[in-house]
Amino acid sequence: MDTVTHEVLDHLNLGILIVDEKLKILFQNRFMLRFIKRHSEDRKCGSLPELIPGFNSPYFQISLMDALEQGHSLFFSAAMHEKLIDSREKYNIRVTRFMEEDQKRLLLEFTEVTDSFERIRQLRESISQLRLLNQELKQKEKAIQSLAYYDQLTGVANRALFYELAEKFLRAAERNHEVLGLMFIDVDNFKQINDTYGHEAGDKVLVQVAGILTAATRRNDVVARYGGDEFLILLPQINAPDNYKIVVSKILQAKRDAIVCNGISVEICLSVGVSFYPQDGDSIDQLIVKADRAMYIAKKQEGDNWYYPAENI
Amino acid sequence: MIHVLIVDDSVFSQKVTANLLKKVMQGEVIEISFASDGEEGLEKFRNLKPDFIFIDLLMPKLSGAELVRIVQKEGGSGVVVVTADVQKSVREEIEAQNVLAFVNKPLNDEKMRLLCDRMIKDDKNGSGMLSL
Amino acid sequence: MDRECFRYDILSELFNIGMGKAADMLSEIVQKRIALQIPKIIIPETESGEQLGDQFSGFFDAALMVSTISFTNSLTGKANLVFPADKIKKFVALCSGEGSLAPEDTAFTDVDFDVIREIGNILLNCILGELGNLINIQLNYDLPQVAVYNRIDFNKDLDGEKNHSFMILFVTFLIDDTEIEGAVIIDLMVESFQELFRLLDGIEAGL
Repeated sequence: MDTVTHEVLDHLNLGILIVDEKLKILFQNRFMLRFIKRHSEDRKCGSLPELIPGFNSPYFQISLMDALEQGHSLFFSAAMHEKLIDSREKYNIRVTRFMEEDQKRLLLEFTEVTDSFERIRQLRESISQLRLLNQELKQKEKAIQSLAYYDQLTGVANRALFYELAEKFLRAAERNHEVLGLMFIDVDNFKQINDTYGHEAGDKVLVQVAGILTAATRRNDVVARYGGDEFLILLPQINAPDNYKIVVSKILQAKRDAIVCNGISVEICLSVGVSFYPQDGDSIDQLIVKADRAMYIAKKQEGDNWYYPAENI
Repeated sequence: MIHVLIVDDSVFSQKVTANLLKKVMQGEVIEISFASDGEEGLEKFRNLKPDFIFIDLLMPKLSGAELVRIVQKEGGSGVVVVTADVQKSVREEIEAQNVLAFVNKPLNDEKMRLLCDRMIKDDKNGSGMLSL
Repeated sequence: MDRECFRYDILSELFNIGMGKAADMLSEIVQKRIALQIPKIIIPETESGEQLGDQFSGFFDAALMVSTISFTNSLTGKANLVFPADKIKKFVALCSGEGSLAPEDTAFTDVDFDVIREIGNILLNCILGELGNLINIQLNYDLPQVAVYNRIDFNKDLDGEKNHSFMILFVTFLIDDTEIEGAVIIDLMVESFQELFRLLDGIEAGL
């Protein structure tokens, strides 16, 4: 090899290695020096497997022999053979056979691809950061949605959600000729509890009431806090006329001793008024007004009570 | 007389194996039967009771590996596995079944010669699996 | 067995051997057993690429990653290894020993292309090598080119010039519990196809 060629090969940013049929190294350019262990200064360093022991494995032996015999090119990707070269840097290796006189030779080109790996690592990292960010945003969105639709104290639906669902239920009832029930519930002794034990105790009572109502209703019923100590319940698909009575009796039979403070328990008294679509009105507001009125009639009586106008006629 | 059953789903492969056998076993009286899938192979093995059975691993109906297992269980000896599935793990699995030889396809003159040397020797399963 | 069946039989056996060798090499790299299935070979009768596309629309309509080796000498044509792009990521992860993949990680990187180039080279080399051995011909070819197609348009992408015939070979790799379906499409000039059949018939006659 003349000196110019040699010089040029030494300046390539690419490892060049030429081996003979026995994989003995005939030439290597300066780039390849990085694979030689420090203590060895000798540029002519034995065989390919001595330089890179990974080439001893059956896959490489078979592939290299096949390349020598058949003359086909080979490609070894850094990703598939991470352990081949013992360094932080990664290399793709391309192998081509050529003939020198009548001798078979293999040319091995080592291309460094460490940067690609690094870029991909960074890309993956930013993808996973984006994913985390996305998850956070989704959680926040959920939180915001629940702020908008749920009562923060009791966790049941707030007015906004109540009206949204009520409209839907009402339309469904119209469409399917079904009965939609509405209950208006008020805590009789709420003002008294508040005045005697303080607002914190009042809050505890409201939470308890929400729990009682939720437990007494069916899965598709909607319990909502209408405001103050007033709750509403939507009862879609009340098919048998007495179905709602089961819900009412569940509410009235529930254990209603609320621990308000310092071990003092107070019994919660509830009044319930009921109205129905279509008998009592064909809008939610009409139904609320009717149920509210019924509730007031119930309240006038002593203790827990429920009232439905039609039953009074 | 030596009776050999060749079980292979490829007719081409059956013929190659048979021709190589006849070529290498010149001077021996040799009778060759064929089967084209594992089930047929098992049936012929049971009916014909061959001295040697060549089994391809990748076959429809009953796989070669399964056929090898059944043949060995039923006391068949002289099993030669001839296969395109040359993975080390496959060979090790077959080796554990104590077969006579495991031959990577394609079969050629040289492999058949070594194989026949082994077949003609008396101890069929005596000295471990021949791997070609 | 008629002549055509016998041609299929020889080709199937040849592909079997080639795939077996390729699986052996891949299993060596991934250090895992690769379950092989008997490859199904199809030589479409149809002349038109369009009909061919229709016939396999299920497979070739999705995004595909294709490694292509062009060969010359005794036979002239191309051998393509085709994998559905959505399975490639998993395949690459298995082959390069990477852990789990993020579901968002769907873009192909240089490294994916490199891995597919190597796998393509192993497979196509084994198949073409076996073909060369069997019918005793020498084929010249270089490393595969790798490209991603949205779908394969047989007219445009494979049948650019007329007078081509195809052989399609469906292959399935099962590594651990992951099944990866792919296809090898060998696209030969008509003269080469006839030459191949002539050589195969010669083998039959020699048996």
